Amino acid sequence: MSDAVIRVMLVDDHEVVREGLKALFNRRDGMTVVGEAGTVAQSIEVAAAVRPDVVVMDLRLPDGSGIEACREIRSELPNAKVIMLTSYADEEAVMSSILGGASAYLLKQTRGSQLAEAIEGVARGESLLDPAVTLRVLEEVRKSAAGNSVNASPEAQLTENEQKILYLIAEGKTNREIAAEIYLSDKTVKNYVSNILSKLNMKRRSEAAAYIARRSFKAD
Amino acid sequence: MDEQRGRSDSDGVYLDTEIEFLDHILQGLFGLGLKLEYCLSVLDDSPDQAKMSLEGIVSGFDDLAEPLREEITRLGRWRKLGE
Repeated sequence: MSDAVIRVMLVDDHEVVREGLKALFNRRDGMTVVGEAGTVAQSIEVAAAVRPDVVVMDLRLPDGSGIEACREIRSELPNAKVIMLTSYADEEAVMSSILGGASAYLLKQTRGSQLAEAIEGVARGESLLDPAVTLRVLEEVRKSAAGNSVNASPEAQLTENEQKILYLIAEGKTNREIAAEIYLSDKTVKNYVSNILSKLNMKRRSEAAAYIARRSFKAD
Repeated sequence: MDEQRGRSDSDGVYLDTEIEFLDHILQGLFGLGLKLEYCLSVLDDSPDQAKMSLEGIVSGFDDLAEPLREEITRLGRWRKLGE
């Protein structure tokens, strides 16, 4: 990768962000933007077509979560690296991103030039966490490790809200029905579902429903 | 988004919409910051290109100010209702 040009793909629903990143990255030696997308669905399609080395991915997308897109892209293109770039630090999202296969998690307070350096590092195989989120991640890891020692259930790594949503999925409820029941937007529920699947290492909500059904059966 | 904002200030939907609104502003500021960074990098080599980009950035700030202005108006109305 040392002399090769790094092929970058941008996934963000804010055009102004894509334009800014594209202008800066295309000006940098050894880096070129080969594709852009504004939704999860588009990102999967474009990634398959342009086969980027590094994907810079927004966390919140109109049709779902960047984590979901990250997981899909990495399962199709295992060599592609994903950098999650988001506007604020959310420890659940950081953990889910890492579990979803992201190589870096950066906040949208990073200078474009630092972001370009992060892309170069990730392309070389490095991992990177924004200093602002590192402490939160370490706390989550400690909590999770403590939880695992007393409770080996995969559900133990889910937050209270995630567990609640997992059971609603198992009841066969749609995202819209879940959203109405717990007073959240469809989009937020989608993000929660994506985090749950990431943490349970599952791809589809039907797997999550089956998992709960199996657990209930054993408990009976 | 505005239709939902203020409809119910006590439930999660309101907070969700607020987060989305603030996120939108933050994303816009980040994007404009990147564009300014780009202008600085091309200023010496291509001042015309930098000038053109700066004009785009000025419009970008106008676009970003619009929803903020609407929000201030909405909050002002809300305060009056509470008086």
